[in-house]
Amino acid sequence: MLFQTLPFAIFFPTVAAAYTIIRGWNRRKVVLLIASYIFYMWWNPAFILLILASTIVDFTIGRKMAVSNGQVRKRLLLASLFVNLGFLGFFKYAGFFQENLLRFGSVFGFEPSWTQLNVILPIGISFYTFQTLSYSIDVYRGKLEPVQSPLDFALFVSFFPQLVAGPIVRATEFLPQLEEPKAFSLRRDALLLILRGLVKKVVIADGIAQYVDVILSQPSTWPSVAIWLAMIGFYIQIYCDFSGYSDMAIGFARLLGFELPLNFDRPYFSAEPSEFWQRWHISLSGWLRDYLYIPLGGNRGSTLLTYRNLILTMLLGGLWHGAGWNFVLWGAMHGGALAIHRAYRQVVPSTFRVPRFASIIFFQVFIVLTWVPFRLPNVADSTVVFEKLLLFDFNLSTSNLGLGDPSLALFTSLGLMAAFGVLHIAAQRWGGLDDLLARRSTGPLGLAGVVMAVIVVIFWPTSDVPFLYFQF
Amino acid sequence: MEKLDGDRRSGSRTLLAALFLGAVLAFVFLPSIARALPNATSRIGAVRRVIDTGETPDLVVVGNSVVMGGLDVEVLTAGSDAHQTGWNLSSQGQGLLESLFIVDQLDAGVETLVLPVEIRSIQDVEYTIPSSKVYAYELYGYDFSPVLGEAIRNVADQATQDVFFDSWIEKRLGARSAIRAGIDTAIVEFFTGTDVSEGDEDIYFPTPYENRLSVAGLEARLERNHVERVSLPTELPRPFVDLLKTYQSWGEEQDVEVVLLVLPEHPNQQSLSPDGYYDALEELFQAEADARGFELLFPAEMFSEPDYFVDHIHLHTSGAAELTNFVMSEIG
Repeated sequence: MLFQTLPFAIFFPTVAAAYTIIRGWNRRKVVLLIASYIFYMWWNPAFILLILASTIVDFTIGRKMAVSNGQVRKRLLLASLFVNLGFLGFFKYAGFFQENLLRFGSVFGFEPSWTQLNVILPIGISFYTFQTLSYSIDVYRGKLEPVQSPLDFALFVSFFPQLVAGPIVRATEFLPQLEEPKAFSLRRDALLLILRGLVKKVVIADGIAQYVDVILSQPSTWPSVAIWLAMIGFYIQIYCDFSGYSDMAIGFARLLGFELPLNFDRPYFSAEPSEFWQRWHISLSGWLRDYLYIPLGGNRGSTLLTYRNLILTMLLGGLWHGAGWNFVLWGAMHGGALAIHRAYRQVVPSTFRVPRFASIIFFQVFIVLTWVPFRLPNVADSTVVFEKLLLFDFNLSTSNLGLGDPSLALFTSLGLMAAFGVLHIAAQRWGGLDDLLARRSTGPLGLAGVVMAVIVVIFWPTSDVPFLYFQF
Repeated sequence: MEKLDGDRRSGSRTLLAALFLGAVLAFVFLPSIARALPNATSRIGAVRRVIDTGETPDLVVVGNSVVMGGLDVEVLTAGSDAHQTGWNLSSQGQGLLESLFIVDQLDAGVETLVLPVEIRSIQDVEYTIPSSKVYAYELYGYDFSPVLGEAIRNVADQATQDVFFDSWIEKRLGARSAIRAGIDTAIVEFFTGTDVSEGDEDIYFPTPYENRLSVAGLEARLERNHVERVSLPTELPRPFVDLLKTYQSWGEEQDVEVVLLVLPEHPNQQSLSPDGYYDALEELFQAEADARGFELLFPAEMFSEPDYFVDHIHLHTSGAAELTNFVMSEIG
């Protein structure tokens, strides 16, 4: 069930109505839990068993850890890691592992007639697995008291606004919110946030995708300028697609009385890799920092060890996105950039560094390049795109840009890219349009609402386009 | 604090009401806006208006952009004894399945229907109609008959079926795809000084092509669109045959002679086909045409010089003149 579809347009008001009518905080939590399970089962009812198993295992382990010490406590943590990472490993990486094992074996003439594994990836598994892992690890570390209510824990694991594509919520952020009764409230800021997410997704991301998808489906046949436009388009598309989902998730949660953490903070104004990861998919980068980078040693060891930790963290971060070497390469590019930038800061004195504006431009061009392997799993296609981006062919004939082919919607896509640029710069300078509207009186707000609705309806794609991050 | 909460709630209600009003306005005015903007589907509207005149020509030609710039029906009928009047109702990307939308609207009295076929398209393209086109047929007031519905169900790919059998509301909302394309087209027209709807109203020779593509542009198109054929054809695709059966039934019911015209291929594509390819294909087409009672014209290898084309598929006016003469000489 996608946020921008009719089933959700029926589902959410129904849940909100039940949530409002039913008295008693515990009963309302039950409403949310049932709603969350229905929301998840909409894709594939069988996979609810995975969430239930993960919920039962981690709830039980958390409670047992609270009354255990030493080795027993450690074994309980290992059991939680084994179960959660076991599910994730099987459903997400088994096929990839088998494929590479066979490829490796074929080098030595080993070619068994195994059946190809066709494992269906349960939607959102990467997100809720990291949530439950953070709970077990925090309880193990003594940072969090184990939750006593199975209902609260089940709701923490499956809360529907952020269940399938984040933000990844820590137990320390969510569980305390369940202690205070909440109610449905038609908050203006929440509605504007949902509207902002909707515009990002259906107007900008899906609009630009029309051009991007055509060009990148056959990159070898397009000139450099078309490839650059397509990659810049994808750079905007993925941001608007993913942050649009996060905006809507935060907005729907806010209507129900919950606060979810910020997931994006204008990352395309970052001037360096570490700043980018403090602004892009914040809930994931924070998770990787706290549960992977720091336990690996962080920056507490030698310089070389710090570089190793950075690269290893980003490699695994890349692999988190998907079972493919392209994601490993994407992670390696980011890990390498983090290490190189760290070395640069240590070697070059601050007075001699590149001005911030130039750094932003330079670094954002690098980000465009990192999206190449992310977007194109096929190595041959990635290679062609890198070649066309870096070795510019100066083929500037307008007919080769897709001009005049209405199915490409070149100018509409360019217009949307420009609109994104203007809105993004304006948001950085004066705050987001939704923030400005939230402070306006009802007249301008109403007028803006009418205009936005017309734009959204006109640009809404004629078929539902899933969120890009659903595949992870 | 209470006042602030009250303001917030009233602001929220205003916002929701405004969003609802905006959505309703957009829904009501979508078709009018779509029709007002220039776009690639406006030809479909022009064809509808021609059919609505109530006149009945002797000869009707349907097909895609190759036919729009490849057959001059005015010349064709001027030199014909059998056909005094004719219409070229082809439009951009109109495959054999899509042509049924138009053929289905024709009044009784048409004597001959020319059905052009591109060899490269019969494997798949003919059975896919972009959603924007289906929405455009709805937008311009075409009637979707049970015969058309049956053909869509039997032949079209799933995506086309889904759109065709969408509800009225969905189809009306589908007009937004025409608006997006229209915005793009309007910008192209503004910057290039062209008029993409030029020729939309022309029912004889809608888009004569004069300007050949640049060498670099042509090379890219050839690489992108021409494929090497490695084996001889052994059968025609099943959906293609099913579609011909639909035309056969329609032709028999309306007492119309159907002429199957296999369009000429670019010499580059010919060179990518094995020896005997066209002979084998002609044999298959002939057998099918005989079975359906159609007349077959097979000028697939008619042009050995690329100058007869402006790009990888579209004929230059010199090529169009040759093809028109050929068809005229064959069908009388």
